[in-house]
Amino acid sequence: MNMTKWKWLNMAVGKIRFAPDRNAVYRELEDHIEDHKAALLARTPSLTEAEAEEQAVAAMGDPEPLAEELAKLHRPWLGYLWRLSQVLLVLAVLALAAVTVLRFTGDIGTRPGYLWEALTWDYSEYFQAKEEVLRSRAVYRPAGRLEVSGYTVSVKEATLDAVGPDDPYSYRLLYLDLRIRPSWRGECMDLRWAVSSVTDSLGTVYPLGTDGGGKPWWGWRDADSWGDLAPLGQKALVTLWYVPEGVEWVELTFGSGELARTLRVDLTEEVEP
Amino acid sequence: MKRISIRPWPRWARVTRNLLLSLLLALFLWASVGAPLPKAAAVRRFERECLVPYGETVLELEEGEAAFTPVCVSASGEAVVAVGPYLQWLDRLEGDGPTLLPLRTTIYSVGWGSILSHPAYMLVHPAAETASAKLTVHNQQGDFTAQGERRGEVFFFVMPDPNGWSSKDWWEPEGYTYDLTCYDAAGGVLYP
Repeated sequence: MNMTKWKWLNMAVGKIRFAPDRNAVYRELEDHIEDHKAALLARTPSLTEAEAEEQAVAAMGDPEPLAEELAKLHRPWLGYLWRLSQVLLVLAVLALAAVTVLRFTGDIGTRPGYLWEALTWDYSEYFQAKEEVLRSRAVYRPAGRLEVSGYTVSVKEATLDAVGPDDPYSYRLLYLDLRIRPSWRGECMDLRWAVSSVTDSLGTVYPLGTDGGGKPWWGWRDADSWGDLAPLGQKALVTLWYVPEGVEWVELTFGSGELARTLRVDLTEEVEP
Repeated sequence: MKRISIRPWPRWARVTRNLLLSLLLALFLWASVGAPLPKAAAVRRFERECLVPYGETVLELEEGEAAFTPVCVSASGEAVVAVGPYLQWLDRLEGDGPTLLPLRTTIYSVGWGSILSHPAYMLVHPAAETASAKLTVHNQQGDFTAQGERRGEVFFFVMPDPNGWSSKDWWEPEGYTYDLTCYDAAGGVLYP
């Protein structure tokens, strides 16, 4: 069979429908033929180039069965899927690069610096005693945790400070260092709405926020306000202002209606700071 | 020296690897931009985060109807939640029965060659016999009256443009008082 190299190669790869694979196999087979041709010329110097090429092609055999085998090996749908997966990965990496830049400029999500602060959160950074005179401090590590709607809430530590100048201008603040483990969805609890009431053992009701006047109220601060780290666990500070003397416990009610659950924070067993 | 032969992964394995990596990165990107969800799913997520029971959708504002649209409002027996781009809020309900709540965004209309901004209120859980309603709001800016329009499961009141805006006068309970009258189909007064 006298067949030119080009004709043999086109027959051998002609049934590979995925063009990039067809081209790659064509080049590989062509290299193989060229290598064999070069070996023949080296072994038999009297051969012409055309004769060496003809013998090399003949040595490759019938291209038809090879074409069938190659078509089975190089399925087009897998080839196109391979290309698609490469494009998707490149796009995703480019988008990741863009988002990373936007994070550093503060346009998206939490800046990396703030993420670090959230990870190394220390609730004492927000104590009022940094601004005013600290008159007394008591620290508690209350036991107990609360399961509510898939979240698990616990108080890692509580600090009761009396601050301010002499009576009657001093006042007491209770800081609760909350830890909230999210449900399997990894969603951040929105404390502003999730805490439906705050009360204490003396019957004091603490509304959210204040309109002044030195009356009891409560506020909160999230370690990570964007909620980027919520799947790893949420940290938050709940502060009760103007806590009366003689309070033995405070209760935070999470949720409302049939979902409502109450967490009692005991303030009778003081611990070393 | 022994040659180490590294066999390339088969193509199907590389496709699987690329697709899994792309999915992981896409998930991270989606979370990075605030994990946006379709309206209904966003309302459900907000209800979970606020620990209130799932409610029924009672009102939906469409694109362009107001600032921060589209807004979806869901009401249960315990609370009314509203979710839209850049805003979400919750009002707890005290007891059964009709409750008037402010819509914490403004409704647009076109008038006098410009876009007007109107405060709005919704009457949730109206009595079943309620056919119409009238609301008059009193605040520092004056007295404003509007007829209610039934939209979904609420009566919707779009107040006249006050020509100047203060959220305290319209959204804060201490900023306004109101007179609400509900009528049945025959025009009889149902409430108060």
